Amino acid sequence: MTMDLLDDLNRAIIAALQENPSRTNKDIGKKLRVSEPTVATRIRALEDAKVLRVMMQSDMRAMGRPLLALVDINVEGRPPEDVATELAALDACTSVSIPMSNPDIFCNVNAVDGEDLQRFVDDHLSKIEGIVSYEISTALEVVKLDPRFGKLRGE
Amino acid sequence: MRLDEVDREIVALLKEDARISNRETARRLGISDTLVRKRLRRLSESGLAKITAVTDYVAMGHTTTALVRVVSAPKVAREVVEEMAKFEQISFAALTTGRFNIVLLLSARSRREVADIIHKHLRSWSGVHMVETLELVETVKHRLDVALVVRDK
Repeated sequence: MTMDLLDDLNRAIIAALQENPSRTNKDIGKKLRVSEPTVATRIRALEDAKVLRVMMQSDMRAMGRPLLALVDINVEGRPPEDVATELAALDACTSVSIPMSNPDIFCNVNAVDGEDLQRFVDDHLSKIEGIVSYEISTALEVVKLDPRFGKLRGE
Repeated sequence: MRLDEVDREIVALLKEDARISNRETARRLGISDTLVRKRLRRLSESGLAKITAVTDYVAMGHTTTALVRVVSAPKVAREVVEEMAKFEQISFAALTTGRFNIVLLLSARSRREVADIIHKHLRSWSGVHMVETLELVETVKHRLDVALVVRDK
């Protein structure tokens, strides 16, 4: 499926959208020398297959949680994946990953301020089973946050 | 600029699919085309939102994701993070507190590509003392709808 779906034309369409996501199907068709319906059909197929998603992203500061914490978490007595799933369910955790070795879990927590972040530690890190230690570092200045690749297709 | 209820509804709708027409957006929210167009322009001009073509990392072959944490001399930190942020493989770059003063998130097609960026570029600064790389083998959650649209001056 993925082989057919990412033929040269579809890759070119994706590249055109990555360059200018607001480009119309007509414009893309003109640039790639195919018809507008062809572009529309292909974009829809890519979206249906969850390979492509042209989406609005809001500025991180509009979230009302300007403090970004990067948290290393160590787990014992429980699979890290289970702890990660619990963390992922929390709104304040905007990203949760499992690194290859250490720490057991790496996650991002967005908080209003230090007090709010400590509340997160008290209400969640202290209460989720298996978390034995954590280390927090905070972003003093985010220079770039530009997610362009994601897990659109899930598992 | 504050987001009101209308802005929030427009953003919520477009976070799912930003390619729907203004007319369709207006229809779904029960407001006028003109209002949608106005609000979209305002959102983009104020830097509160932007539209991005996001792709699935597996489908596109970007299967190596690495968190790169750096210890650098203070006086080169800003230059290093700004220069590294120019790489399209780097989706996140920040100056931080803690053991490391620079943190980067890299998404690439191979470990080789990650290694090249680190060895040929990051390590080329004499003020970069230590680089730690964490390969993130599983992404349990990664929010895609939030970005840094415009940096403050």
